[in-house]
Amino acid sequence: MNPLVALTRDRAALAGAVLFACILAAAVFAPALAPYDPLAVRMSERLELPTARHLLGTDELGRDVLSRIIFGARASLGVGVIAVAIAGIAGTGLGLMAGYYGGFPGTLIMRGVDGLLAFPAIILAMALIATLGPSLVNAAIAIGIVFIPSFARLAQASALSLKEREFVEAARASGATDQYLLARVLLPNHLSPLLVQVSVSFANAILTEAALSFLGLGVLPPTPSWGAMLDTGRKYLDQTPWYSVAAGGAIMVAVLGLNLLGDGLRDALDPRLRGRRQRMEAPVAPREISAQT
Amino acid sequence: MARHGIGSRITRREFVAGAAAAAASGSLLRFAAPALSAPAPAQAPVRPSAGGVLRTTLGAEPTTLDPHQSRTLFDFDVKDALFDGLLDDDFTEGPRGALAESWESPNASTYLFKLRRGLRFHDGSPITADAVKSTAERIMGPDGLGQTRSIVEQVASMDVLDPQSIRFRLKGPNAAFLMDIADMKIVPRNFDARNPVGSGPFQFVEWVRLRHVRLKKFPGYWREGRPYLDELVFMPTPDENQKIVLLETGQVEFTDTVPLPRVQDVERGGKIVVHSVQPGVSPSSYYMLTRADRPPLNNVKVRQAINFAIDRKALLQVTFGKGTLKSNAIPPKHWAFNPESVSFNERDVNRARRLMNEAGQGSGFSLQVKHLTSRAEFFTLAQVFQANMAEIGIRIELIPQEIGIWVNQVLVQRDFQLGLTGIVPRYDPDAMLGEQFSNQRVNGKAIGWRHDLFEKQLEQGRANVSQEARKRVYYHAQLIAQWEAPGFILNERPILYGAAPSVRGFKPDIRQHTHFVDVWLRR
Repeated sequence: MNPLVALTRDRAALAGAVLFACILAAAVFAPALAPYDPLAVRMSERLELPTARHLLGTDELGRDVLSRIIFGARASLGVGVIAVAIAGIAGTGLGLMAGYYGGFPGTLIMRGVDGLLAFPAIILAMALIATLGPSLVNAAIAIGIVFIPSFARLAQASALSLKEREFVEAARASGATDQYLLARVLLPNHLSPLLVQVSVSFANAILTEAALSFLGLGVLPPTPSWGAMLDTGRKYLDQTPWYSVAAGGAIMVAVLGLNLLGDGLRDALDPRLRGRRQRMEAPVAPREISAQT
Repeated sequence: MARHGIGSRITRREFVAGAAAAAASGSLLRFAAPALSAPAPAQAPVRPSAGGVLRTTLGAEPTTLDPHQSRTLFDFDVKDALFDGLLDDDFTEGPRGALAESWESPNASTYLFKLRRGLRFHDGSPITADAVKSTAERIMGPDGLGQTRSIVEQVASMDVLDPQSIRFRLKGPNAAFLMDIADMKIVPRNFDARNPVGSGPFQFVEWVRLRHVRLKKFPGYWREGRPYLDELVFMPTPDENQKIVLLETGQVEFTDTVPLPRVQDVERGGKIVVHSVQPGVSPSSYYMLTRADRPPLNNVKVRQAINFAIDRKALLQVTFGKGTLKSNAIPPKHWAFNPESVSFNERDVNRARRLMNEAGQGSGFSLQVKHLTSRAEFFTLAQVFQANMAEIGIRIELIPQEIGIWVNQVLVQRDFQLGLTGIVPRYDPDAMLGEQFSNQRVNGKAIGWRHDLFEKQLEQGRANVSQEARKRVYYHAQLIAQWEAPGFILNERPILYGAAPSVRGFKPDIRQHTHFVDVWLRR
């Protein structure tokens, strides 16, 4: 069954996709969607409860909370994309090479990656940001580095299992170089688990960015960030609980959507559940191989 | 020649500190002692009862218990309990003797102090004039730090006349010397900061890092019957909200501050009493230093533009109305306040833009503001400032910093453009103007603003004995300081304490020195 079809049949995954699409839309179309400038300070309207004018109330500087939530999606998604790109590219590359070559270089790479895994993610991110300085990009880099181990291990496992398969040996016998095998054979066959990992890590990146901003280590004010809003909102719970609730709710929607989507992807792409043909098995020297099959 | 006794019996008015303080106390007494925000229980005055343990929060872990090395207000809280100086450092009712029972001053450069008899340190050793001298010598040595050093640096010579008497001869006249010397805490010759011995109402028991500093009553304290409390425990609690939780759940009896967003709520709740200082009196301010010796801030028009563009009314809203509008280093109710100096209390964006254009900075520029994190409102004040500056084309980048890092980068290394902090100078106009702007002192050194006439006027103010003469001098000094604006006063910084209803006898000090010597617990 076509994985796309399988995905659309999965209600939970669909819900996740819708949620994530909302977040994506908020990030992309923020200037059009937000009723106010997220940076517009109006002290006379500070800490208001939700009204018709301000659907989620205002913050401690009189800024519209709804607008800041919408623009906050940019920080979250921005960090997610950069972090996952860094972790995905670096981690997958390292993992595939470690798994394919094996031996001493492989062990060296994986022990290095394991070293990263030994640190609690937040602590490592904090240390990196202390060196690089707080900013959106630096937070994304820090999170990306911290997520490398999960991608690397996944890729290594894929490479280990794939490199024993006949088509890989056959391709090698036909004179394919290592680089070709890595890029054109192993990687494409690794796409399914990779895609699932991407969605899970994306969700984690959003959570980690929120945590870092909560600790004051992420995006600098006045740029809106859900985590920072969650933290600041704590001080003003007496005046308006909506401040923190909105920020927490936004984080929840984003992470829930991505997790549901990730689950759905995993189910749709799992060959054992769907029993579909592996279409992408042999892109190398196709004529010889397929003739034999 | 004037001779002064213990307490507030002032016999001659030519002695300026006495005169200044008397005038100050007179004007202060007109506005009554710092008021309680919540109504005190209406009953006949109750006699204080001795005993009990008072646990209080502290804004941060103390950096040190050495009174000559303390930098932060958090250090001062513990310092005030452990140590005493020659005079009491609360001058709102005039100079009062602490370890010194009397003093005389033939002129503004010579001061003779007579110690009380029978004074002892916590370890039992007697407090003599020799100990005072060795304390001053210690401060001038490697163990002395910044603020305390400036007290002793002005001393030319110290003579021990007899075991109870010591005479200070200053390098130059200083009418405010009594206030300065009150901040010098006397320690024994063999002082060791690991087991601090002083002469204050409480003595050291233990310091468990990041947990508490425990003090107990010093039974040999020179004030009869004081302190009332048996034990005093300081618990570092950096999180403002946690302080209130601890107070509400009875885990502490006192908090060193109340988070501003919670004040109204806490007062209404009735379980906690909020103590605050009368607005307009305290020298406490939010203060922004500038690197006035580098472009673009070395242009006075730029600094004025910034100062005019600041919306102080909005800043007052950030503090929920606590404190008051202030753009002058001298508080509005102080005797030396000059109402004719430029005031920046009213925002004037148009004037600010004009000034920017006149300075050739019409296209704007970027500036970094390094601000403290010790109070939640610093973040909000900084963001209001940022929004204000955006309107005149200045792009502000905010850099929150822990106090230790801030002090190092801004004050020591001078690696900053704008620095936002809270400051509580001594009550004398020399301290208020000098500590904020004079390039001879810590903050002014960091700012790097040079103005010879201003410095001369500060000298004159110190030298002059008559309050009328001093007032004229400081009027002029303010004209200069307000016009030049090397640093910006961003309103009065509110001083608030939270206490359980059982805590009695507490009086908030306008310099935010927390005094527990008169505090007792009603059981």
